[in-house]
Amino acid sequence: MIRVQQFAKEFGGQPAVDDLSFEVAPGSILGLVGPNGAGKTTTLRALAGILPPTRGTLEVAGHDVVAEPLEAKRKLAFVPDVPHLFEHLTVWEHLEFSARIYGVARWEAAAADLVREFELDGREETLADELSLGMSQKVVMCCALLHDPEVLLLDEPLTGLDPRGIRTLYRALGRRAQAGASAVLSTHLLAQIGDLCDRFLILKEGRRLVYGSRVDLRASLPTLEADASLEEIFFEATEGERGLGGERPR
Amino acid sequence: MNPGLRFLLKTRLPGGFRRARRKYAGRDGRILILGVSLLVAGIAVLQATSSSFVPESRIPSIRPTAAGIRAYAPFVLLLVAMVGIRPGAFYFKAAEVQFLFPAPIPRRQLLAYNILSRLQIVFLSTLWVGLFTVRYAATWYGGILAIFGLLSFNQLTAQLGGVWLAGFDPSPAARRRRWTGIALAGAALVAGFLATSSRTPTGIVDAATMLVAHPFAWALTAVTRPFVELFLAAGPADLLLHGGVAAAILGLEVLALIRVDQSHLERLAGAGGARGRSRKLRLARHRDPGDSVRNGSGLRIPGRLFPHWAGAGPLAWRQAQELARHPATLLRGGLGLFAVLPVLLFRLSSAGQDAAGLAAGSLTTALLMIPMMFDGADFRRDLDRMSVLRSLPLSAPALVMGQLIPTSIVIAGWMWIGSLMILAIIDLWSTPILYLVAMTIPPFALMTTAIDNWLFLLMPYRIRSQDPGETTFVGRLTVVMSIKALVIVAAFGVSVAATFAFFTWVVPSTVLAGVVACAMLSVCCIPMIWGVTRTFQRFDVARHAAE
Repeated sequence: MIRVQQFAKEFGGQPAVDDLSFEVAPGSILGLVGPNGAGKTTTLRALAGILPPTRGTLEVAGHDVVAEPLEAKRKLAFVPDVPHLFEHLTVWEHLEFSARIYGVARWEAAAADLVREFELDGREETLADELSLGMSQKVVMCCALLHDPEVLLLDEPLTGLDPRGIRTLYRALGRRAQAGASAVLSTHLLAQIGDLCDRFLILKEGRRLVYGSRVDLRASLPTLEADASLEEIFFEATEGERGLGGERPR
Repeated sequence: MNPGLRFLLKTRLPGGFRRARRKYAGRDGRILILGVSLLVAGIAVLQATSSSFVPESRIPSIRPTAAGIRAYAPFVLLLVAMVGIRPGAFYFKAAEVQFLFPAPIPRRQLLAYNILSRLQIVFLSTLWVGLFTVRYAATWYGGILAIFGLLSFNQLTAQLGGVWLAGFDPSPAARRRRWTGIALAGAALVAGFLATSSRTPTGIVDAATMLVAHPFAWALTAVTRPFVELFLAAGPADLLLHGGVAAAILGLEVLALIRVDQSHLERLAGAGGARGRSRKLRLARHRDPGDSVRNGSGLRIPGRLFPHWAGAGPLAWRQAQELARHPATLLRGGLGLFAVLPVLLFRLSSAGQDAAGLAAGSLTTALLMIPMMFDGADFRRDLDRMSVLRSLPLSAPALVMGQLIPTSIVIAGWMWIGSLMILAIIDLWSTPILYLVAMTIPPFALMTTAIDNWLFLLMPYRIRSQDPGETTFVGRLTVVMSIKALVIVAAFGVSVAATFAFFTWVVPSTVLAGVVACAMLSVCCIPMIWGVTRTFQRFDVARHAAE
């Protein structure tokens, strides 16, 4: 369960996110979309406890991220847009490190399953700086899933992944959601998340534009056709008629 | 401490060695490791036996004495610690931010991990620095302890000062006020020193001698003095006493650090306006934060100043723009000079009769160090742009020249200033020498820039601290400097021999001799440029450069 209420974040007096509220129920996957600079990464980083909020409350699995950071962090996993690994550790050592950080007992079997699932078998002894970008992203995913988090925060996690990697990630996410986990997935690849996410939140310049299921979104934008795609919803929400009329921003 | 943090600390050094072993597993790597091993062994042998190369009667004048070390080392060490300070909160690597910040780890444990992980590297640096310095210590174990303590002191002081400075208002007006205050305090110190001195100094060397004997100077250097005393401690009682005081100073610094800690991303983001914020956050996520938070000046250099020159012009323009927009990079060259100056004064005041030799040594050190301070506008800054550079429709030599020329010009400027300073201090100010310096510095600057870039493309690792007070680069820096010194000595040998032969057997003209020296050094640049070009063409983007 994720609950965000009137969250605001300022940098040097400038608002990056303002008065943002939303919830993600257990078993639900929220698609967080918006133009560059909309505040998606800031929101996810604040939820992960990396950035403290300027105002508002952020709850992860029933724990306030500011008041009970350790309890909240035990329940969550954060996957950033660019994977940064420890260059002196191998793939398997990254998994061991993650298991130790989160106190996962008997982690080896789960780690081996994840390695197989993300097609990293045979790469266990490879050093981080010998991996491609996509492989590194897979390692980060494996590390994130190892402690079986209740909340998953994924910030544009598809960077560098091949089609099979993307499919594997979606299946893994779907399985976690079915098991009761909540997830927030930030991405620009609108066509790919339409079937995965059951709710969507569109941000622009730090403010919430529309929020809800795809049906809710269409209902909140009356100019749209009943079968409007997520991309059309996005352009209508963020750019109005300009976005739908074929005129793209310069 | 969290078991994951312990795991990281435990695996850091062995993992680093394993990584190096794998990286240099090929033929080129083996040759490099063999070369570096021979170099280290040579340094060790020279250090162990150097006194046998020098007549006994001259040893007191060229070897630092305990009294000399006691008088000057605390100043030099304090200066080195101060130079390492630059505003910035606790530095965490990108992987540390990614894995550790969202993990259930208390902030204090993170800080403890941060400090301990850097002290591990300090231990390695201690062994390297000890190779050169421990023979001057009273006992080898006291020397090693003192060096470890001093390097730790530098690390902690730089972190403490950086965190403290990061808390200040970053606006230009506040910065001006701060610098005015610092200038006034400096002037008051000098005035106080002159007012309380028993006599007027006769020169800069005499002033330095008087300064270190002044009671105020003793008070100022009280924090570095225990480390120097530990270095010179001969008996167990002295070792315990000074070691205890040194350990207490380090402990107090650690406590102070934990107290003044601030969230590094918060500071990073708060250091500029909305536009700068987005840029800095983006850079902080994608690149080393220590290198990405510099404030650009927004200065624009007209592109028409740089004609096409087979493609070298636009690249040179880009690099010149980079230099102009980051004045701190331009000023960094001065740090090399200021680092050399106290050492020069120290040596001159304790061995005045060796002025010419000392001048040559100091000059060479300064000239070797200055280019090291610039890595902001050539291949050393473009590691993540190598794919783009490789894809440009330009000939490799033109591209290399475009990359190297702006930095070479700035370095030549600093070398001129440094040379004039040193010549003035040691009173070797004469028209022929000034003329020779003026003529030889431009090709020399290009040569040193080319060697630095060549070595960097061969071993693309930074040789400058990315974290205040961090010393992981010291070993690489020394290796690079040693290789560079060998190449420069060879090039200078050829140039001096040709110039001398011309002066003796062809025309005894200083003007023409300067031209010959300049021409010979320029000829020596050709293989260096060729080397950079070849290495650039063979650079493995997939292996060394981030996508």
